[in-house]
Amino acid sequence: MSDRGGYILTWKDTNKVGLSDGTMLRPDVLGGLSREALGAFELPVGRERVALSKLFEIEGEHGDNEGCLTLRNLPRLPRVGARMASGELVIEGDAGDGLGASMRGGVIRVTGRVGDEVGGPDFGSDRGMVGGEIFVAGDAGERVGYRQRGGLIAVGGCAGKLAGYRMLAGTIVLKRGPYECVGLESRRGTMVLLDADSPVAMNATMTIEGEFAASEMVAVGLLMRHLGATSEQFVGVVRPDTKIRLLSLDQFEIRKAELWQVC
Amino acid sequence: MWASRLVVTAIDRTWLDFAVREVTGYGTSVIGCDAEAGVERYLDESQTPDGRVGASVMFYAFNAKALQKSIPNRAGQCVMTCPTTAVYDGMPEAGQDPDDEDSARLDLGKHIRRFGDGNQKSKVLNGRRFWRVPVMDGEFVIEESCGAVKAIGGGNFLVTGRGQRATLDATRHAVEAIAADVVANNGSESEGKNVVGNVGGNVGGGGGVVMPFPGGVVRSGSKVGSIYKALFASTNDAFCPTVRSKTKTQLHSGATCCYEIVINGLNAEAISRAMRVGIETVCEAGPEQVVAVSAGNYGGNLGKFHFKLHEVMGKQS
Repeated sequence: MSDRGGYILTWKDTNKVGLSDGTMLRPDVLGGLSREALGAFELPVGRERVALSKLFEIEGEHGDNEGCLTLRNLPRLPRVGARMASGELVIEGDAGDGLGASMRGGVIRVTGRVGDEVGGPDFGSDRGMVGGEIFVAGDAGERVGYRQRGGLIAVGGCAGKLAGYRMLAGTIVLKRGPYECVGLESRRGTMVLLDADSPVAMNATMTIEGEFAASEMVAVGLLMRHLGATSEQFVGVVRPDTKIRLLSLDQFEIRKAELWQVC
Repeated sequence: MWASRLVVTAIDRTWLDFAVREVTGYGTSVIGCDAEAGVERYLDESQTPDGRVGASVMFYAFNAKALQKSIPNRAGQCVMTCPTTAVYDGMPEAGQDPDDEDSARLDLGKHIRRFGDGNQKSKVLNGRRFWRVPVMDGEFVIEESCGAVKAIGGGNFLVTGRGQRATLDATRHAVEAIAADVVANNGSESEGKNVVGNVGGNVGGGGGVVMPFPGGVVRSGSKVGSIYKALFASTNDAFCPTVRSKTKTQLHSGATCCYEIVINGLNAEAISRAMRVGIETVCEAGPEQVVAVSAGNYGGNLGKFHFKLHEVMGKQS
């Protein structure tokens, strides 16, 4: 099924234990290991450590695209791909909270839904993801990109409230509304809201800069082109004549956070 | 020589042409210009990073340092000033490996961004940083850095013929044929792929060429050295028809005019191919127009690469 290469790890349904943390499930940790080393890799389960091969079926050969890792059938595991720095992590199915927490680089793709705080801060950090890209095909939980400092998060489904809460920089793209309390207390960064039927509720921190055709904002074309090339969900969503309302969010009077609302 | 490639886009072909004309202006020969510049090919909406029409433009200079001086100036003065334009790196893979001595990364928008006076913003897509500088018609988007690679300049051949009109027409046809071949040879490979990642990597894939002189044609071909000590290049008198008797002329009898096509390319194969296409086209003009095809060989003293015409024509790929 996967033609990307790299290891494919499938969670065994028979597992009676719950994995408590998905931090180590990332291509820059596991991708370069030999099959034996991968199978023996220990993951935290409660207070114990359990070999990966007891929890996952392993497919794929060593050396076949080390930069790619595919995870299937995951339980609602928190913080998968946290602090990931490079490579491509594909999650076929859903993922739990804190996906890509404090992520630094690489790409995470999720075919299903994800929990809260995608790209948020990992334990011990006051910053969310600083680089890399996360694509979620389904819905996302609350606080997408909480304290995000860089990188791109694109959600093909709906997102819970408070997306971009306390965002510091970076880009969040939300394909479907409603958009509740987006960009609250954000300082810089860009929120892209593609659902014209769900206008963002204005609040006192927002200022409308103007309305522009998408073709007039080159950065919109650049972003949509990139999204479209990565995920079919974003192909044709914005046309050159699509109107985009540009808003500034005026947290702490620095007026550097922005919001693009398709209208 | 070192080469760098930019992709320039604009709202339509008219404004793209204005930008391209400016950015490749005063870019004929490094004897007197900061860089040799030319259009490699035009790109349609599917081939550019932002989905607008564009052109891939190449710049050649003696070394990476010289390109570093030239390119941001040209981007800032010639492209940023032109309505609706944007500038992207056309060689995203080049210079990523610090141990690679044959390629380098140049600052492109790194300093130009400060024109935004603090209002500039950046977006990182696929590991590439794009600066958005607020300007009076919206935003000028310019990539932070661009790649540069070792390349070859000055591949050339001379067309001698019967009179200016006849020789010029034959030479110009050759230029057009070479430009068309660059497009035909390199197709639109980037279509449907991740464009931000691939544009440039595939534009001119096998290595395109540019012909930096006016219309691709030089009339003041030069030789190495001069009777004046201060000059290191002077007119190629062996091919000047009006001083035939005073020099060791290399013009054949009947030839009263000579033009040169200079080709800069990313590698020897690209230049050889362009020369072959050009020479074949020249020859189609026939003996009524064209008397002979030659090349400036400068006694073999100029440059590391020599394109011997018989070898070039024999090399069919």
